[in-house]
Amino acid sequence: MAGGVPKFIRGTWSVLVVLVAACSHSTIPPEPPPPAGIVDLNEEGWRELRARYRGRVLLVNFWATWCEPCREEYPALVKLYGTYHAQGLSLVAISMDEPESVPAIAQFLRSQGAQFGSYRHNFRDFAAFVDSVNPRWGGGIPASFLYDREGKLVASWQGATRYEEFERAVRPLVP
Amino acid sequence: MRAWSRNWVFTIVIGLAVAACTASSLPTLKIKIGERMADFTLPEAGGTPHSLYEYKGKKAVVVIFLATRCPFSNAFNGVMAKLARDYADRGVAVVGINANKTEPASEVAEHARTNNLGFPVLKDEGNVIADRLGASVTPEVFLLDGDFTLRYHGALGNSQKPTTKAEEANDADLRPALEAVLAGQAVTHAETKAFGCTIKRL
Repeated sequence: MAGGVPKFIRGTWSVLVVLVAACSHSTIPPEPPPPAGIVDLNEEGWRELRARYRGRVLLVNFWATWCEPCREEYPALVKLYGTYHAQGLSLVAISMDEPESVPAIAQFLRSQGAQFGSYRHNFRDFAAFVDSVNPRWGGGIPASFLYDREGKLVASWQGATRYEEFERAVRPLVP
Repeated sequence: MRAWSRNWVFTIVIGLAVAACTASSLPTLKIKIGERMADFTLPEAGGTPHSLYEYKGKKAVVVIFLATRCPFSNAFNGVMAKLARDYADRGVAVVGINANKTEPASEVAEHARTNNLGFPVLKDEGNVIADRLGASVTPEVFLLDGDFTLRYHGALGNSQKPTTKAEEANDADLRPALEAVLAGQAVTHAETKAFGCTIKRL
């Protein structure tokens, strides 16, 4: 084919560049300070939380202290946050534990060296909340949801997820 | 390159780019409300095989995916046992299925005994039936009518307020659906969220 790169491939590249640009912006707002201790989260708190993190890539993880696969995947979350935090990744953990398990939540997070914000579920209608996060989410834990800087849901996982899978989704969203 | 070929390349490249921005590993339910569940045969944990269609003649069959180690499932042990007792005389069969690879048949049988479940709990080795139905958590209910048609799917109860406490657990989501099926009426809320522990698959 004479004349270098064919015209249609140049066109395709242009569209790709726009798509990639849509997934990765250059200004990264500072991370909102995490709450002191384990805070109960209801529907209003969830909306405020999402708004607070707008401008940063946000990974939300649902877990519980008694959930074995949740505990298994935690090192991956801690590593992911450590690796990409400076590039604009924030992480929020929402525990499905009962109120009396707050000390156990704190102890587990300490043992993992987790530096990110941690909450405990206190939704008035959990089924409706699950639907609002992703209608395809059945409500099983562990479950994780990745939002881009505009707050759009770009990836969802249910079941213990490996570091590489998280990283594959996060990488294109950070500079 | 021909025009159609260029269009295909363009479509594939853009499709891949968009897919990269919308990854999902959420399980998909494989049977819809109103569809008939195909027959299956599974061994009762530590015992004899049971087929779904051996319950022909019943007015309803409640299939519950459950676990031995999941606190959300265990909170409902008493609720499940009571449900089976309450509806036994009304032509309703309750069948449990354990598809967790981490919970061996001997443990499942012992769990059913010590919790006096009073209904067979089948062992789904290799999560074959869980995969066929798209079951994803425990506890998760599939309510079938007498023709094995799916009439309700989701939680036993507490779908609005998940709990790991037995004293708070109820079957308030399933019971109205079951009553509707027994009365030959349409189920008002045919689907709820079955919150619980993800089934540990192979």
